[in-house]
Formats: sequence, C-alpha cells, structure tokens
Amino acid sequence: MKVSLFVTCLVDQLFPQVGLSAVKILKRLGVEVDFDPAQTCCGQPAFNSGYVDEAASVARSFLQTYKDAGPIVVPSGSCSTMIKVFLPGLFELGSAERQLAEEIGERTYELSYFLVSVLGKDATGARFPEVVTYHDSCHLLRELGIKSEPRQLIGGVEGIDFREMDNPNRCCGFGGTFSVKFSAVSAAIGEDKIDWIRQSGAKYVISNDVSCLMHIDGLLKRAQVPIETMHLAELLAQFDD
Amino acid sequence: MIRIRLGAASALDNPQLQKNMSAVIRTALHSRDNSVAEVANWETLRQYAHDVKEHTLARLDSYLKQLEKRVVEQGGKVVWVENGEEALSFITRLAHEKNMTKVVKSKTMLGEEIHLNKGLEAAHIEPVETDLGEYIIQLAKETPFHIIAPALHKSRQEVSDLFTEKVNMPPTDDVQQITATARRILRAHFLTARLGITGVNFGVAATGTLVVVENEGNARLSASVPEVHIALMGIEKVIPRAADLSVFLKLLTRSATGQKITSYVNFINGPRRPEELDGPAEFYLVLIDNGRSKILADSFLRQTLACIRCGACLNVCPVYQRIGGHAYGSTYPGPIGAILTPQLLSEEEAPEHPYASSLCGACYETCPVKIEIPHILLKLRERVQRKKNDKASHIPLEKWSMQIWAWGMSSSRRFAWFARLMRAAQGWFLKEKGSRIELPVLNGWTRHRDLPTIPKKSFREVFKPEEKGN
Amino acid sequence: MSRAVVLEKIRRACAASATAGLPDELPEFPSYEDAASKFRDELEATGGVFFDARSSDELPEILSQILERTGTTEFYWESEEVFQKSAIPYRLRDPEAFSRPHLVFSYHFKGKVEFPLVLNFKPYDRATLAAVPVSVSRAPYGIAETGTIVHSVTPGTGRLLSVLPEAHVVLLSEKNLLMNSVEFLDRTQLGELGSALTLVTGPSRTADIEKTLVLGVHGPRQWYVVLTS
Repeated sequence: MKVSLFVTCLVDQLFPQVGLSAVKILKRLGVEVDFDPAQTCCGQPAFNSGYVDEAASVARSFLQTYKDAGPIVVPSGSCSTMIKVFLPGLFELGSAERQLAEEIGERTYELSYFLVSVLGKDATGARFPEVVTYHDSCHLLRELGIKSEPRQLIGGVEGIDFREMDNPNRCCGFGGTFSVKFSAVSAAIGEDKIDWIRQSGAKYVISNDVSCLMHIDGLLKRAQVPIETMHLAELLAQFDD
Repeated sequence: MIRIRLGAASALDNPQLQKNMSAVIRTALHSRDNSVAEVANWETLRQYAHDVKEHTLARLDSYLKQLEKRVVEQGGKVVWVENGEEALSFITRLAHEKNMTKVVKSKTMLGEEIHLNKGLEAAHIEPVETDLGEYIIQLAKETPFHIIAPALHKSRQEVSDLFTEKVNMPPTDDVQQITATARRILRAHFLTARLGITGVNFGVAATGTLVVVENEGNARLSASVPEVHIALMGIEKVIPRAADLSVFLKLLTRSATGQKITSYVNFINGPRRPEELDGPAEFYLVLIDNGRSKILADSFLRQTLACIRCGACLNVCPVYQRIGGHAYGSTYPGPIGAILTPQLLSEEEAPEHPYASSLCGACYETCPVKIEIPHILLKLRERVQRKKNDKASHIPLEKWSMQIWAWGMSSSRRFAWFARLMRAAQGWFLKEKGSRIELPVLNGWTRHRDLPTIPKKSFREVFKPEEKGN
Repeated sequence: MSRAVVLEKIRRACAASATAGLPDELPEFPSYEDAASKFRDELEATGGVFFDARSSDELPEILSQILERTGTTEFYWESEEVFQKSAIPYRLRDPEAFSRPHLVFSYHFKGKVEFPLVLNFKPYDRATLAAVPVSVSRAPYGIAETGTIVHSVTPGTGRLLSVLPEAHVVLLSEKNLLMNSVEFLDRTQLGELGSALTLVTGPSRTADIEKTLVLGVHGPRQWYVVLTS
C-alpha cells in the first residue's frame, strides 16, 4: 500500500520529528510513503481568521499537489478537518475545484484514524514505559469524531501507563489566531488544562495536533513544569531499534 | 464598537469573580449532564427540534399570521413592531392612557435587548423586576451576567450586602432569608400591580398559545394579577404545533437548569374569559423584529434564530467560563451572543464577537437545537474581515499580511524561501528562548507562553526519499 | 402600525427558501408500568408531597393530615364543583350555607375529624387570596414522567387561588394520570381549558443565588398532590 504524506506546514517547519515519526510508523507497518515536496499548507490560518479568498488560493495549490495522489495521511486533526470539512466550501458550488476538493477530502485520513480504521492496527510495536495522558484536540474530536482511535493506539504501546486527565475533551485554548488576538483568555483557558495535566500524574501529555501541543508546551515551560509534550506519532514511533 | 478584550482583561483580573463563576458553572454543567444522560433518545430530540425550527423559520410569515389569528380569536390583541423604540412607545402610550405608573416584569431577555427598563423609567413608569436574579441586578444597576441566571456572578455575601444597602435588610449569609426578603417586597408589588409584562418562550401558531417557562411563579403572577398583560415575543419564537412543545420543553429545561421540567410551564390563551374569576381583562402580544428579519434572509445564518435561550452553550464555553457575561458587552454573551450580536447589530459595531472563540465546538455539541455555532462564527469572521478591509478609511495591514502569506504559501519554492528567512531571523531577534518579544503578534504569544525553538532543519530538508520504505 | 412592514421583510427574507417539511413523527416518550409510583417519585424529588387515596375512604383523613402539616384549620376550595366532585360526605351545620356568599361550614367524618371548608368565598381579590393559608383544586390531568399536574381555569374558577397561597393541594384522579406530556397535548385542545393553563411540578423554587436551592419564592412553598381513584 502506498500513501502520500501531507506533513502540514507547522510540522514541516517546527516539528519535523513528528513527520519523521509518522513515516517510521507507516514504513514499519508495511506502508510505502510518498512525500511530494510541492506541498505547503492547507490554508487554515487564513480561513480561521476569515480570509477566505487567501485561504482559497493556498488551497488551490493543495488541490494541484494532490489531485493525482492516492490516500493522503495527515498527522494533524485540525489540518485534516480543514481539508475534509472546509476546503470544498471555499469553491463555488458545482465547480470543478469543489468537486476535486470533495474527492480529495474523501481520501484524506488523519493519522490515528488511518492506523486503526484503515490499516486495522491498534499497536505499532512501540515501547514507552512512562506515565502519559492524552488531550483530545477539538477539531479531531468534534469535527472528525475521532476519540477512541488515539486511545487504542496509546493503550497498545508496550509498558505504557495511560492515565486520563480530568476533562480531556476541554479545549486547550489555542484556537489559531485566538491565541494571539485574545492571548490572555487563551492562556487562562490553557492554565486550567495545565492543572488537569498535572493532576493526572503524567510525565508526558500526548495529542494529535502540534498546534495544541505548542500552546500547552509554551505554558508548561513558562511555568517551569517538568512535563513534556509529545505528538502521538512520536509516541508510536518509540521503537527499540 | 464593543471591545471584548477590555472586558475580558478586567474579568480575568478579578479573582472573586473567577471564584464565584467557577463553582456555579461546574454545578450547572453537572446538573445538565446528569439530566441529559437519562434521556436515551436525546440526539433524536435535538434533530427533531432542529428540523422543526428550520422548517418554521423558512415559512415564518405564515406561522406568525396563524398565531395572530388564533390570539385574536381568543380575545387578545397583536401588535407588530419593527424595533425596541416602537415596542417601548406602544407600551408607554398604553400605560399613560390607563394611568399606570408601575409594571411588574418577569424575566425577558428580549426586554433586556431593547433596553425596556431604561425606556420605561424615562417615561416615568416604574419597572419592577420580579424574578429574583433580575431583581438582584436591578438593585445593583447591572445587566444580566447569564441568559438563565442573571446574578450568577454574585456571591451570597455580595447579594446580602446589596440588599442591606438598598432595602435595609439585616446582613445575613442565609440564602433563604435573602429570598424571603425579596418575596415580601415583590409580593407587595404584585398585590397592587395593574400592568404586567412577560416574555415568551414559545408561541404556538396552531392554538394561539403563548408559553412561559419558569420556576418561581413570578411569571404566572405577572401574567395573571394585573388588568393588562403584555407579552413580548421575538418573531422567531413561533412554533407550528402544540405537539412539538413536548420535545422543546424537554430539551429546554434539561439544557438550561438540568431539570426534567420547571416548576411552572404557563400556557396563556388570551385574556380572561367571561366566566373566569380573575386574570387580565386585556392581553397584548407584541411581536418584535429588531433585526431578526435581516438574519432570516441568509439561509445558512438563519439557524441563529433557532435558539431557545437555554444558556447551555455559555456554561460549556471555555471562553465564557473565564470571562463571564459582562465582558461581551452585549445583551447576549457566550457562543450565542458571539453569533447573534454582530447580526442583530452590525459587523462594525461588534467586530470582536466572532473572534472571541477558540472554535472548540463544545457549544454545537451541547446546543439542544443543533445550531452550527462554530461554522457560523467562521462565516461571520469572513463578513467582518470583508467589511473592515473594504472601507476606504481603513489601512488593511492584516489583509496585506494575509495576502503575502497566501502568496508565499501557494508555491513550495516561495514557502521554502520564507522558511529560510524565518530561520535566519530567529538568530537575530530571539536572544533567548522564551523572552518577551515586542513585535506585533509574537508579543501576544510570549506574554504568556514560551516560544517553540525553530529547528535547524525542516522536515522537507531532512526527509530522505530512501526513507519511503521499499 | 408596522405589521405590513415587518411581514413584508419576513416574506422577502423567506422567499427564496427551499423548505424542508415538518417532521411528522414525534420522538418516543417514556411509558410506565406503574405510573402512580413514577409520578410519586418525581413529585417527591421536587419537594412535593404525595398522598395515595385510591384504595379506601382515606381522603378526609389525608386532608386533616395536611391541615396539620400546614398549621391551619381551613381549606379554601377552588369551586363548589371541585368539592362536590370529590364526593366527601358532609353535614351542614348551617342549613342556609349554600345560599350565603361566603360559605363556611363544618365537615364531620366518623365523628373524629372536623374542619371547616370554605367555598365560593368573596371578596375574590388579591389581598384575600394572598392571605389564604391552604387552597384546593382538582387537576384535569397529571403527567407521570415528571410528577406534574395540570392546572386549568374552568368556568367559576380563577388563576390565582392556586398560586398565591402558601400551600396548595391538588386532587388528581388516577384515571387522568397520563404517562408523558405528549399524551397530554394529544388529548387537549389548548385554549379549551381556559385562558390560562399551567403545568405545575412541586413547589415554587429558585437557585439564582450561588445555585443554592430555595423553595417557595412567589408560588406555594408547600405542594400536595392526592391521588384518588
């Protein structure tokens, strides 16, 4: 089986290890991974702020990059949502672009969903004997309905001690441009999340979105709390070799 | 222009407020969740209600006409007004004609929306709030903090102090005693009131019935003791059939207060009938537009009007939970306020409302009538941005940045070039990780959080084709 | 008046809408094997008091218990009809009683219980009503799902006698106990049960201060429902 990796702009530029982990996992599970360097971004930052035309122009490049690709795997809940839920609406009803966007959306899969529901795996062979907790990122949970797959995969990690935090499904407060437009509110919401993470007793907090993790990590570091953030892909790629 | 950021800052800086809110909202959420968990077909009920509202809003004129016909048949009168000023003018004219100088009011958010009390006072008519929460904020000269619980932000101590100051109640921390004081004072008003004003939760077109939901009994009294009862109803509150009430009531009370049903569900079918011993001699239904017909015109945004004012979205919203109701600077706060306010007013008057959200979607999940609040927020952001950037007087800095960004992002070559620029700049302005940076946008981040370090190489620079596997 | 303007705005706004039809099948509402028990449980959960007078001639005994609990000595019946329908055997001390405007007479039960009953009292005004300690009405329907009774205004009765007093007693026949609100709305033409109908569930309440429950704000603090056969 062969898939195209849409690594996302944030992962590409700021968290390359997440992309590398995703590749490692897929390779280990016998999936061939193609990375088209023509990829850039899904357009979400502009869309999220109401700049629909600008988002559409970025989305067009996305469509061009992937029009002839096979299944697309994305290590991000928010980017998967942008592609699957919002991209078609950027283009006029009945247009060829819209149709293409819908078709591409149907073969786009968020990573954990791909591993569990497409490949049928609930473990990758990773080993990580630590105490971890999991944060449900909002788009992943509420737009895509992906809740049990990440948990199954975490549970499948050898030696793991998985503790649910209080309110794992409560927003971390990032919200895209909200994090800077309403920075104090964003941080205050995040403070609650930090409290629940601490109370869980975990040393690592896992999530499927580097945007949430970036925000949580920034708060943890500012408060000098010795808890690490980790993307699900990084966890699932903890192979002994 | 309403500046939510300012209100939010003062709310965040108020530890007493944060404390008061947090305990109360947590209780409210538990009640709601427990009562919803009991209903096996909750999702079916939500979809049903959503569909009824969708259908009704698309044929609003015919249902309103049917409602009017039935109300008139039962001896009531129907008054249509375009806005708050017209409503106020009707009410004050009537009160003056009949020499009425006092009004007993039960809770009506629509009344708040049209600033009814201020208008009545200006016309020398005394409005008496009879709902305990509304009475408290009336004494405090504040606006409601929450759609369901107007005085949610006040501790019992604060309420006691208020009562001591305003009505000479001896200080107490016993909530029963505070309530008893309010009851005594308000009962005296009820026994002499000649004019009563209530809101309306649902107007049933098929039967001409106005439904008013409450727990205290003050709406029942406001509608029944005076000679004249005026019911204020937003045009969007009509529903087609009585049978649908079962579904709406079940959704409303569990969502709003976690109750299976409220103590009283009042069905008003006009003024008193000849053989009845009491009740108002005259009944007026005032149908108020106040910007709703404008919202109706957009077939996607129209679902904003499906709202049954349960307040559940406020309780579950992480933003509302931290900044509370007053920070929104509008009659309706929270997620519903964020979508309703810019549509009732304008994008210019309420440009921050659609942005005061992390788009988490918890509101949509909890909304009993399935209003797609996050998607509406995105649509409104688009409208705000277009309005703002189309203005000749405005320098569209943000739009230019977005355009440059989009230009950069729509080609992998330019994207890579931008990335190299960013890496080069990192060394230059980022003296130490986590320091406060006084550049726009970045300073918003670093005021509260450390920045991530930019790795030396990006994924695309590191990824080797051999790693494709096979 | 702005009727034409508002209607025109609405009409134009709705003009281009493709309408979905109204859903024609109501979602399921619960039914109960033992409706009376469900009713009792729900009523008691709200702070109401339930009495079962179905099996024997217990009604007068129950009423005297209620008098004791409310600490008064008189019941104010919503109408003569309600009283007559409750079929409580009575003996008039005053033979002219029914012709007087303010009807007060004594009730005897097996020589043990005696309490005055007030019917058709006047003046029927707010101040008098507010001073009434306990009033009694008969509900046309009850709803088991939520422990609710229906209060309607019938010819010769009013809205206020059941809401102004401190305590209120509702007589409900088991024959009229429905499973849920759907059944109620199904068999009722709203508007034919008087100008004001109220679904009442338990005492008046509020939680407006710190979400702390307080009973008895503007409506009755004591709420009794007596289920008869």
